[in-house]
Amino acid sequence: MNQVNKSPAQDEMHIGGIVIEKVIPFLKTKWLAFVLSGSIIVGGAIGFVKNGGFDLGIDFKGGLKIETKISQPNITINEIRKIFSDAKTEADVNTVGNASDQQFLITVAVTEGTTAAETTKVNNLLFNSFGKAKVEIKSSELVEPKMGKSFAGRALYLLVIVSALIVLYIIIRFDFYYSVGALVATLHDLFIMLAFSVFFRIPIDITIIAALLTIMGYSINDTIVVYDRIRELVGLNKDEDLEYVMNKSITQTLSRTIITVLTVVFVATAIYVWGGSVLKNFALLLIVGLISGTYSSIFMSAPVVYITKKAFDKNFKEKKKVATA
Amino acid sequence: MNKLGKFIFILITVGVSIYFLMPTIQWYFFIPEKDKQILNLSQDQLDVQSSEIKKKVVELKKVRKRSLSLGLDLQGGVNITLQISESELSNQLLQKYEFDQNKVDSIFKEEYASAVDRALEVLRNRMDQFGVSEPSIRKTFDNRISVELPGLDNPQLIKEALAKVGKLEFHIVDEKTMKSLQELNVPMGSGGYVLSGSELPAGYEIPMMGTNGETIRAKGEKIPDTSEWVSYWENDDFGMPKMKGWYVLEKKIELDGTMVKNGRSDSDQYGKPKIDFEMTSEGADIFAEVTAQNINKRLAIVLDNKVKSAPNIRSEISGGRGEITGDFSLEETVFLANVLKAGALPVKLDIVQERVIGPTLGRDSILQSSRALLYGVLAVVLFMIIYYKISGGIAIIGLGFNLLYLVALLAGVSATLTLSGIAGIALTIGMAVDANVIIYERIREEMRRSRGIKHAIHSGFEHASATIWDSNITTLIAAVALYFFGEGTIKGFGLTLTFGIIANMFSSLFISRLIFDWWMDTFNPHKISI
Repeated sequence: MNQVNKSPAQDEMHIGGIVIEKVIPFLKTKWLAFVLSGSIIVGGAIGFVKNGGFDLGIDFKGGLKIETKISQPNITINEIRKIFSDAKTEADVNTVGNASDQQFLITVAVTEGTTAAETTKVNNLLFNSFGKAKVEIKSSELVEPKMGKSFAGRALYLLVIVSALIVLYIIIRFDFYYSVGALVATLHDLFIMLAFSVFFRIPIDITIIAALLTIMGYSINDTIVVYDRIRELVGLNKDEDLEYVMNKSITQTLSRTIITVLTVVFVATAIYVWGGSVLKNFALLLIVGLISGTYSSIFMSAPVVYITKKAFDKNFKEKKKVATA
Repeated sequence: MNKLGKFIFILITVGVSIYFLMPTIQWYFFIPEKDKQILNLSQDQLDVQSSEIKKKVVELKKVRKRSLSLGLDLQGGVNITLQISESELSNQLLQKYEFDQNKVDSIFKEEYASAVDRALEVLRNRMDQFGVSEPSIRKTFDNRISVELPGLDNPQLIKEALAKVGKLEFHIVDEKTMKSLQELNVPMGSGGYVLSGSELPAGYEIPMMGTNGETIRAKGEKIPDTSEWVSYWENDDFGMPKMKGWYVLEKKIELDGTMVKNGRSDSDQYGKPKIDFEMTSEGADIFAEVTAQNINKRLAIVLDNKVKSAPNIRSEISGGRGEITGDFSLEETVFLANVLKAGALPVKLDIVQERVIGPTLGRDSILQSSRALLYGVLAVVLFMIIYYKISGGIAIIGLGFNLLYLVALLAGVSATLTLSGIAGIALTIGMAVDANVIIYERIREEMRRSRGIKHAIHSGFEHASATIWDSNITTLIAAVALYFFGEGTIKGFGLTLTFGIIANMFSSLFISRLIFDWWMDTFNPHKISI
């Protein structure tokens, strides 16, 4: 059976000039993949508990953040810290970029109900210590904690809406099992990114939310390319074993998956290296997400569909494995 | 559609794109900086200009409106989010409805929403009066008000203009009580006000407010029910307001800001700043009556519940003109005059978020992000050409169109380009070649089945387009959700991504396809470079 579509040339995959024979049994490694991802996510969760939650950016937690350049020679970060400790203001001071740039990021926690006077107070501390002419306020941002909470609620709402819409679309275009697979793959990427944000101690702010949502979109895109191929091959040959078809689909789309992620990683790396301090964390998490998205569309999306179909689909039959031999 | 038809269609899309982009190109490359300055004139300054300049302003504004603008994070400026002070509004309503808590609770939501709308209007008027160029004032989520003021880097005055209620009232000083205080040897400042509020004779105490607003010291019984203590403020040498003492004023509001028609900052004969004002005819009548009845008493000018000055009434003032003098700074008189013209806010606004981006940071961000964009694109271009050779070149041509459409669409809706928007463009480019990659990998596969090049290309495009539609629509869902439900930065990012996906699908499925077909028909190659 199936001779028409089963010429040996079809089971080859070409990457560049290299020919890879047959079908790579990706589904064999599914439990290994689950364990690997699971341990990263558990590691993230442990870090999460140990740090007492995510590092939240001031967008969500509220606070005052001032980026300043002080053009007085040989200012050290400790001197600036001392200014704030002398003024009994709890401030977190960090350098931005090279130490020789004399640029500092000052973060001050604020209490609920704090208004714009806080910015003036901190600015004046700097002005009084170094002279107004030597202090350049490059940017300042103040978020009242209540406002932060409402931002955070908004971001969660966004994540839920996007996930729900994607699931809905896949149910319409594929079926329920595929939507489970796509959702698991997407949430997997979300959790991996969150785990890495804990490992790297990246503060979660609005730009990070944008990165999370972008990766959700990207990962689903990747997954769908695989699903599309599965659907096509299943349509061509209804009697073939699903595991084999899935492996074949992943193998056939592998070069596309890798090339696409490469081009996007190029751009994300360019943003990381040259895009300036504001976008650094965004780009870093994006790269993590891209890798995770690619990984999940290869090792997660189809296996999850396979497992759920096997467990819940009454029409699921294990078929004869036709051509793995 | 035949090939010529498709070609003409592409030409039309390019034409429309260029049409959309024209104002942007004009604005950033052809209009000299000097001309743009006239847009910063305030309404008052503009009124006295020649009709020629007024016409020019109208034209410039048209160009400006239709061009792509830079976000605050790229050009520098101030973004402030304001929120109606709930406690203040609640207090106001409680007083209005005689402390009927249930009544206030039932109408609070409604009153809150209408207060937001009134505040929006007053803020718009104020920004007009202050001559801030292109302010954006709009309602944002949870009934907050977002104000964006591009190009501003010292927001102190503007912040005040935004948050200050600007409630002006005229009260008569309760001279009888003040006199008895003087007789009790209470220390007084020159001009006759009580210096300290803490050590007053029994029966005259000032009610103190606890942190939760409850009165912890009752008003002395010797102060008549029709009078109350109001604090007196002056500016110190640094222009910061400082409390100087207290007045006992009659509670009755003789006149308020709504009866003032016009205000103007001026200076008196010693060069001290003052405010001239003009009243409505109703206000003028009341003012004449009040001054006639209260000769030799003081008229306290109270702004936002603080006494600013209390001049003595020497004679009846008719004609509805007056001046407010006091220890004002020039900024303050300008502020007050503008506030008088624009009207008072219904209730105090709290600044709940404030973002100031200095001009140098904006410039750095433009430089850095365009550099990242350039290098990212370069890497993608090189990769595509090395990996797919001529076909890669076709993908790059498609990418060029993609960028043109993307920027044109953004300009077409007069979008604001932000830092995250540029990141969005960069990512779009990375993802844009994905459609081409799907097609090319498919063509390569089809070619291995050795069905002839034309057939391989045809079926490669056919099979790939279903995949491309599916995968792009899901990304589109995420992008559109970002645009509609997101706020600020995320919104811009979502818009760029949305347009990027649309432009991308058109460029890869339509334009690249056409180039391929043309290549096949014209050269009829036996092998394609893919």
